[in-house]
Amino acid sequence: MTSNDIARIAELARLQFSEEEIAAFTNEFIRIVDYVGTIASLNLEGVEPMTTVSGAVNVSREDVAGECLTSEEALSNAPRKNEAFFKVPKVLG
Amino acid sequence: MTLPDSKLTFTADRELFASGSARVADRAAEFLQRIDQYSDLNAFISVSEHAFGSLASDSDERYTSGLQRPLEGLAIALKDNISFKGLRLTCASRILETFEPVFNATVVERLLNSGALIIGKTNMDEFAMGSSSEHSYFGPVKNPLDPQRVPGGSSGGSAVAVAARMCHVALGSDTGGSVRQPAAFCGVVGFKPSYGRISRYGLVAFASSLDQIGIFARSVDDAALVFDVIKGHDPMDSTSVATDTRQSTTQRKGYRVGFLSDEFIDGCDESVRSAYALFREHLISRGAEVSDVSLPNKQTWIPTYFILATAEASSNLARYDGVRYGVRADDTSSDMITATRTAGFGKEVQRRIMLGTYVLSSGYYDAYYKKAQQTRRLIAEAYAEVFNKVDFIAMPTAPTTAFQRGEITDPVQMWLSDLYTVSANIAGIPAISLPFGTDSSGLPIGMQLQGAMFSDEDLLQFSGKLISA
Repeated sequence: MTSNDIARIAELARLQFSEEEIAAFTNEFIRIVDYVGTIASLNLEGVEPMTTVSGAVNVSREDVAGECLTSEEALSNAPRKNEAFFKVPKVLG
Repeated sequence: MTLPDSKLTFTADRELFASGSARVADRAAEFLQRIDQYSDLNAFISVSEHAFGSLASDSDERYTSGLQRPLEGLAIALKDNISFKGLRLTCASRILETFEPVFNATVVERLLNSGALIIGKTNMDEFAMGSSSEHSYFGPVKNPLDPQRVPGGSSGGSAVAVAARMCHVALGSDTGGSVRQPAAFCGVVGFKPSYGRISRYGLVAFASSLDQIGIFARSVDDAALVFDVIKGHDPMDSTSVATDTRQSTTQRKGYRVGFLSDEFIDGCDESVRSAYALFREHLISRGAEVSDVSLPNKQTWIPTYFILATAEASSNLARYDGVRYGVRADDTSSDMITATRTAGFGKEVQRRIMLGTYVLSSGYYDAYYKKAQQTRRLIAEAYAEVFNKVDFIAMPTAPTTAFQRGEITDPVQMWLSDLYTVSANIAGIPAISLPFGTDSSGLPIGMQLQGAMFSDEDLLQFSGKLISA
């Protein structure tokens, strides 16, 4: 685990850290990963991974139209918007 | 402060309201006054004074005309990660500082339809990540018994609101102990139902396969009353279930309770270890059949929990991108999303997103996430085997009593304070923390009972008999 690895994970997570923060994080991260990694060495061959405690697979319902948010409600918390759209900074140059 | 008498419950108030000896509106005013009086404890992020006052008068009219509903006049606080139209929902995060919900959580709809009054939204660890309620954008929550100490977390505000009697009951969320551990630290009852018993629609997701809404109350009866109203299947949450097992053991004479070995609790404070021994004696005196049981894979609990919880959190929190809601940082930046998330999330949340991103990243998935799903199955199977022999398992809720604010700075050590609570979330089983004595400084100790999947009603019934006089 190096500071380059941490920088790469930060990029994937869309988070930014200063060089000092990355350095501090690297040591902390090594310790955390060491600790949770104790189960990485267990031999668990043949144990089926458990994705949910309920055992439910696909839960479907009838395709019936119901109430949903109006576009005004859906836009009500937008940091920037115009009448019917979320506004974002320019993506393509 | 000295905690108010634990007999001041909603169950008791309901009789007073019905007989006309007390009024809902007066009680509401009293609670609002206490919220104000003890505002230094920082238990609330938002308070609903206006709606609370007028609705309280409506409740009084219903009592007068005999039209009261099951929770008429119950003053309830909601952890600030549960959606209630009319009060902002912040998750104690800067990124949601101004967020106004556009729908009610299913639990909120059910509470309102039963006559409950929502008094406000409580402070918490940001996005429910923490065990001390120190990691809030709105400042730390303080323990009413000693303001230098933490109330536990992540639902610390809800625990304090009930302990300091600022409301009758409060809801929290419990992903790895976030209802039970603060209940233990503040001397109240904290109940986490089986996974799926309470709809999560309108609860902001942290780790979806572990999250469950839970109840803080001053008595088991109060918790059971609220559970009866909010439980059950909800079409808006496909993981919710309708199972009600109340009939299954009604004829049972004595319940069988399993206790764990000394080795199992060797990391606990001396006061907690002695309370555990006394709890065993107490159960015997109440007619329970007590035996020794073992859960063999304790050392895998915390690693399994933190791999699953951080992985799910990193995925769930990807939605906070500054586009559709929440606070947006630096609208001119070429990477608005990174700028928003870096400025909007606190340190503990960022740490967990980083760990979750790492364990899910290419090349590490099999070593961590898949392994944790496998150990999850072994943990659930170990529980199922023990529940073939006993009805409930008793263990401490937390290894210590409330610790000092700032005392635990190492993240791994902080996680270890959840040692005895995470396994119930991993296995999906119901668990309750009951106040049981104090340490030498007078700080409350919590004892936990866990039951088999969907044995919630039995667990509540048994617990109610245990702590009643």
